[in-house]
Amino acid sequence: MRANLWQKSQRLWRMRQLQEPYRSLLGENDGVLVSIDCETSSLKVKEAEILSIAAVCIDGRRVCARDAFYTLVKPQQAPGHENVRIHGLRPIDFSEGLPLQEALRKFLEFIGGRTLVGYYLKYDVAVLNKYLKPMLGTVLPNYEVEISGRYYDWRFADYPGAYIDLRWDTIIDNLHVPHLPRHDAMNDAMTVAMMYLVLQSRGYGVS
Amino acid sequence: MAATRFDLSHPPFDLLTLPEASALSASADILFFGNDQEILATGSAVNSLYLVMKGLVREMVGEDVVGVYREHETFDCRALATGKTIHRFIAHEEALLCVFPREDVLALIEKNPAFGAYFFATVSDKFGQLAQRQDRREWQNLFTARIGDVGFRPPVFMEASATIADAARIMKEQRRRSIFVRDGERTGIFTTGDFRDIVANGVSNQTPLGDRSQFSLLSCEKDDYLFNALLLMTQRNIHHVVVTEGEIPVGMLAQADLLSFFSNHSLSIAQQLEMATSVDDLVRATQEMETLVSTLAVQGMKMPQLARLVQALNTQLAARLWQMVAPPDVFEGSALLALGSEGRGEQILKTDQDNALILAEGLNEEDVEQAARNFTEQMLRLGYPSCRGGIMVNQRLWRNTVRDWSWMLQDWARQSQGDALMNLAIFLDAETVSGSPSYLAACRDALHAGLRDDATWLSRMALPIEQFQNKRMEGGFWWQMLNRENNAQLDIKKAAIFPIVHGVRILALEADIRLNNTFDRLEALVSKGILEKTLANDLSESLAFLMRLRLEAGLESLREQKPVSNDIDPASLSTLDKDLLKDALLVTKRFKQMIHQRYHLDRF
Repeated sequence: MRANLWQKSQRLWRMRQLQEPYRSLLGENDGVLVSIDCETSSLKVKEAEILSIAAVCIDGRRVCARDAFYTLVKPQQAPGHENVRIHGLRPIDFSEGLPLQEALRKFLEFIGGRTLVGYYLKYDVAVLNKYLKPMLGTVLPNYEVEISGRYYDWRFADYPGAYIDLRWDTIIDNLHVPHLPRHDAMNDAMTVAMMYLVLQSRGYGVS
Repeated sequence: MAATRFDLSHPPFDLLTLPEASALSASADILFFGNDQEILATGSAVNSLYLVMKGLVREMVGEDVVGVYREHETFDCRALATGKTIHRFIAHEEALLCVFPREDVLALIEKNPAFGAYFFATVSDKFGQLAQRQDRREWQNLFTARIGDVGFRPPVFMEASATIADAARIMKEQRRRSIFVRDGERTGIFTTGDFRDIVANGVSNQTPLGDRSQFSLLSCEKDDYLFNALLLMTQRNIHHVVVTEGEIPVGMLAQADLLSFFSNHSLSIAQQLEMATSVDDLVRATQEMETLVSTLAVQGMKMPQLARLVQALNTQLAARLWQMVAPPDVFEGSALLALGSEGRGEQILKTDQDNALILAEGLNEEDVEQAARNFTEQMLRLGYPSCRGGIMVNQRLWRNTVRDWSWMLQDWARQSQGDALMNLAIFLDAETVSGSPSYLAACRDALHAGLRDDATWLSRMALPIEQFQNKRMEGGFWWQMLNRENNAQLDIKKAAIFPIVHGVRILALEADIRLNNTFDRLEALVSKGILEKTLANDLSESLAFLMRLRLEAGLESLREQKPVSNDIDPASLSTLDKDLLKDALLVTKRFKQMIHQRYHLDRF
């Protein structure tokens, strides 16, 4: 899947709107992909605050887990009890978190202009853009690869016309990717990266 | 958060502390290899340790598969030390691997000696580590053994209307400490302990049994855990519980039975054999032997020792039986021999009878034949199946005078191929079970005197070591596993036990070492400078390990009431066992190559 004309011109447009240092930072693309995942306080983009950000590089057949990026973010408001249950992140866990602006800056340094990979990536990117737009003057210019879309294409080639279940656990099982022991942004980003490696070897990567 | 990023709960990572595991986990990358992609090439530099998260990896030497790694398994431990792999590793099925940097693992090895031992230990050290782990199993035993595992005898019932005097007589005759008492619908028990009260209270011995019996019984199901029975006895301060199957009482479990189950009672079996007056008595004793073997095995007794204990008991059993079935003059004028694995003292479960007789001159042929036939038949009854090769005293071929044996052995040695060769090999392991050892010594002397001391002859003797070639054996076994064949089986006797035993036998023959036991022979070969100490140790440990695998599989078959075989189902092996099996097979291979070169087997 190569970037189509629309995606290319969109990226160009956004790049032109960027100011330094972001322009050169987000202009670099070394062919490495970055799997990202955020944990947020809500599933509605408008209400959502970022609680943690994880990113891990996919370089050829390697997931660079050792050099992954992970940070907790100090929330503006204490997260509700609901989310403590979902994420297992307690208020005390955020005391070590970075202020949002700093976390985002480090995140941008990590991803550079690399293509992003994620599961329902649109949502994560939308929440990130909500906070990045004031910083950058525009939204993230990076190309995006939706892992469930790649999975759909692969599955559809085998079962044309069939209903294709895109649930997280279904994809994990069908691609024979291990269930990692815990659920956090880091492990989810890592799981997506493994899914990508499997799909890539079957001809459904970015090529 | 308690869990590490990757699952490190399997050996050897289970030896790490949580902080160590977390740190190691954080240092890992993930790699993916598609089907048949090469992970490590022969001789390539290795700067990582690989843990299989998903998929299947095969280890190759040339075109031979020498190892298979499944989920949670680790490679290449050897390369960790040297930084180079001598084998090739290939993804057999799409493999996701956790990759730990070599320097991080090396740092941990230095910090955590137990973890380090796993990697750098020689094969025999690794086996030692396994033995340590098995200590834990003694405890498990208490929690996993079931009441049915304790060999209790079928119950004796009496009517409630019988008198106490009758009960005393029956209990004495049947040597029971307790009996069941039937009173219409009710069942009660009456035990020796009750006599104390009867005597103390001056109760008449003509009192009906029912009046003095206990009818409110506590019972346990036969399938229940032994531990629950122990608990019940402790809680209620009682000495007996009724064992039921469904609702029906099938036996009585006494505290003494329970305690003896957990302790070594080989002495009492030896005593029983000594005091046996009929074949029935012997049958009972052999039943207890089986219980003893499984108890001691679970308690982690080492295989060579266990095998010798069993040999001692089997020897006693066979000697007693021979005494019972043979007329006095035949018994006095004969030596009964145990052959093959029984003679070497490496047999733990009952297998085929391999035995022979050396007779004095001038015994009545018919008396001998009848006694021998009877012996073989009764051995069958005692649970020793007949030998398929007919190596039993009821066959004329295996009953001879010293003179005839000497002639025959020399003839076998001359032929040195086919059946003659195998017969000779089996006889080389003979051990006297009953009668004068001088008979066997005389036969041995005659044999050795007649042996041709030339290399060609020894080569022919050694040749059977190659008869089960590895392509079909251990190589085939790994391939079966790779194909995830459900019934992938490894015949460990053919693949490893026989090559080790036979190779050592021939080396001992060449060096004129007159010991039977493979472990003893290995020791002697080392002290004579014929074998390297490390190889001998590895062979001993491998053989002991293979014996344990075979015993465990055999006990499992017995529990399921299936015939005992030499086949091992790899699916039932733990990671560590599989690792050790791989090592044992490699040691066997190394040894076979050594024998091959020493005796120039390529000329055949």
